[in-house]
Amino acid sequence: MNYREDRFYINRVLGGNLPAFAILVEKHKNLAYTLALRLTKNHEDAEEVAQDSFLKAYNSLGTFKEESKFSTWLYKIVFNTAISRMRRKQMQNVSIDEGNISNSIQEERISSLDHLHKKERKKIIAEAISRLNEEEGAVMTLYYLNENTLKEIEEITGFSNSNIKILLHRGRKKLLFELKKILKGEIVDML
Amino acid sequence: MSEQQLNRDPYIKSLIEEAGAEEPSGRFTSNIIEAIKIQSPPSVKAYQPVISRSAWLIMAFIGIAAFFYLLFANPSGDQGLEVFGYGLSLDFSVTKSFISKMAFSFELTPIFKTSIITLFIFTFSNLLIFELKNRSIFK
Repeated sequence: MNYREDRFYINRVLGGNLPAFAILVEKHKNLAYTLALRLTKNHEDAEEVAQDSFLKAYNSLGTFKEESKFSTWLYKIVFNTAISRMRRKQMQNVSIDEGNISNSIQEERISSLDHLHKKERKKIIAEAISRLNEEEGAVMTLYYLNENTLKEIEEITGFSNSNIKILLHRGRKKLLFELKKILKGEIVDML
Repeated sequence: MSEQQLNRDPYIKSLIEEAGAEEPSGRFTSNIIEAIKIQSPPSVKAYQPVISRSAWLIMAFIGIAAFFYLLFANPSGDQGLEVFGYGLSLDFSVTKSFISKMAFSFELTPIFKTSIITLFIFTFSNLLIFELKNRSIFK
């Protein structure tokens, strides 16, 4: 479906057109849900967080003044809703330890991944992403999948610019490490 | 580590994109819409500015009308002013009589009055342009 700009639907929702909000939900639901899933690590919680966030967005839509993109505003609501839920569930807050982060990035292709079928590859990558911690998963999703800028991620998460860079750096290393680990296990299973 | 440097990892990007976004359940959107419908009363309220658009438009119109009235309505006044050497005559007799009616004891110089009117006109003509832009006339 070809969507129009968010402002078009927002104006209609503010004019009382509820189906226009359904279109906004359809347009943003996958990324909002993915962000919620990266933080909650649970499909049921993620669905509830994403639904609550859309309800909050609907109820506060009149206060949205286009100082940022609608998606940035929405993901900020998703992020805060997910964090509140996690705190309620007494999940431990992972601190950012800069000391463990190496400054050199040595990206490498995982060649064994290239030989797998597309469906299998997707499954393994998704599994590796799910092994990232909450903050790393959220920041990696926003930066690489949603293509948010660092500034937008700062606005959504409330993290500082340097913390975001550390999370991205650590997330990339961990993703490659987890991929290798999963692939190694797959090979062992095959043998 | 700059943002540019961070962008130099297309392999990670391709991995994350390959995994793609997760999809919620099929009833996700309808659940939200149903939840909104059972909310009472409907709580969506459009942002209302203190001064409405129509009020700004009326003020802009009055400002521009005042400018053209002062400029052309009575050009034979004795306090005319040359603008850029074109002999454009501003007549402040109306303003002067208004001030005298208000029993003000001070005298405003023509250049001061011209400055005030020009500032007023620029401000409100800009407001008018922004208003028209927001209504997509220029888009």
